[in-house]
Amino acid sequence: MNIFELKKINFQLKILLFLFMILFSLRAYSQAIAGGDSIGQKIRDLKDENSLLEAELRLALQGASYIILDLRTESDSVPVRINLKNRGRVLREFDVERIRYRRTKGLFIEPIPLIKKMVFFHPKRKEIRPHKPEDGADAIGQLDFLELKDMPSNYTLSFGKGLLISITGQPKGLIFRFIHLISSILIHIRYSLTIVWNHLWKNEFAIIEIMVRKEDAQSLYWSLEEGMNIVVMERHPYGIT
Amino acid sequence: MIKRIAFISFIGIIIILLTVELFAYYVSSDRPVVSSSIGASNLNELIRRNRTLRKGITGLSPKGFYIVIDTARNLIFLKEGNRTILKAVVSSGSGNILRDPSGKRQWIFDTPRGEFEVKGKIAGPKWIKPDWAFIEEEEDIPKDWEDRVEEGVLGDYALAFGNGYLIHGTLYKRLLGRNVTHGCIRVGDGDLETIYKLSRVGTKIYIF
Repeated sequence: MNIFELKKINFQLKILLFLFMILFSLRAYSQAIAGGDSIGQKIRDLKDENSLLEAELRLALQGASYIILDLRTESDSVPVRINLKNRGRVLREFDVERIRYRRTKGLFIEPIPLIKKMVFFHPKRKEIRPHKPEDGADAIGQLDFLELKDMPSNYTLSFGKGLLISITGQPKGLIFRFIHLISSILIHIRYSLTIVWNHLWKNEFAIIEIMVRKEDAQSLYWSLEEGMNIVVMERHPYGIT
Repeated sequence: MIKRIAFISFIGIIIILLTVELFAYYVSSDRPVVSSSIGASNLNELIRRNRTLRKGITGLSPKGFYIVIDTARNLIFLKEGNRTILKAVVSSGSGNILRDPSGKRQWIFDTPRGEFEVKGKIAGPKWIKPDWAFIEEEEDIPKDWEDRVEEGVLGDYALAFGNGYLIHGTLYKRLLGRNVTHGCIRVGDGDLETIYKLSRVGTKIYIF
């Protein structure tokens, strides 16, 4: 490689750096102008809160279990929790270890149904082969059952209105962490491309990447059923009037 | 020459990916939309609405004792408000499939999920064996009802919550904590007694 080529690469990197700076400045500016006076903020917060409560009330009236994902609680001291609820009561809370939220348009604060659980290998039900019970033996103990350990810990939940929630179980061990790192990068690139694509075609699309403990990821897969509703509360909701 | 092409291609791919990443980052940024009607809203009105909504949701929550069953972890909770009165290990549905050799029927042994209520309390319950219990053990399905009755397998108490599903005791205590049942919830003797005594007909059961 000659000096000319090195200079060329150096120039390209400088352009990239410059682009980064411009985009970061624009982002910071848009956030800065969004701030309001305290009463305006209070009204906005109350509107958000009421929208969330209205959505929850609609679900609580049905008597089916539902999920509330309130991203407003995200801070260093208070982690985001996935709340599985029924009739307003929390049935189970799942602590989120890490969360990343990106979208083309904001989500309306309303119930969104789970359409599909997407995973490479769906857990398969086992078939019972009729058999005579053996004397003195506990036949049940010899069978194979569908249990929590059979559930996947990495999967994507496809909801309506272009919402995808990617759930990842925290990997244990050096090798699994490395594999997780590589797959995370690939998944991240895939979702970045999807965001750009949907933005260009003006489609609604939101991706929430969530990392939870492995057992929690498996429990969530077990507990979530297609048709179940979720309400996502953004930190800066769009479309509230 | 090949090295050079490979290097340029690598740099090119990195630049493309970074550009996509930057673009995605920018278009998905947290740009809040300031609603035009925000200024028109009355703060007191919003506070009142907030109270009404909270009251509405709280009003739907179960009153008194209620039961929560986590089929993933095989746990049962007896609760009152946000307080947990009892937490115990149970066995719930195996999710297995049984087919009738005739091919006409099949059963999926899942524990049903959702909201239920105690429909009946039974002391000293007897098991009326359904057809699948005979098919599973390669036995002929009896014609007489009496031949289906089996005593002592459901423990001392049972709570019926609809469609033949019960919360009951078990002989297979070592299998508590595993998904081994045909859909019912099996509970250990001591815990079952507490749940039985504190529940009444109408007590809500939430299964997930």
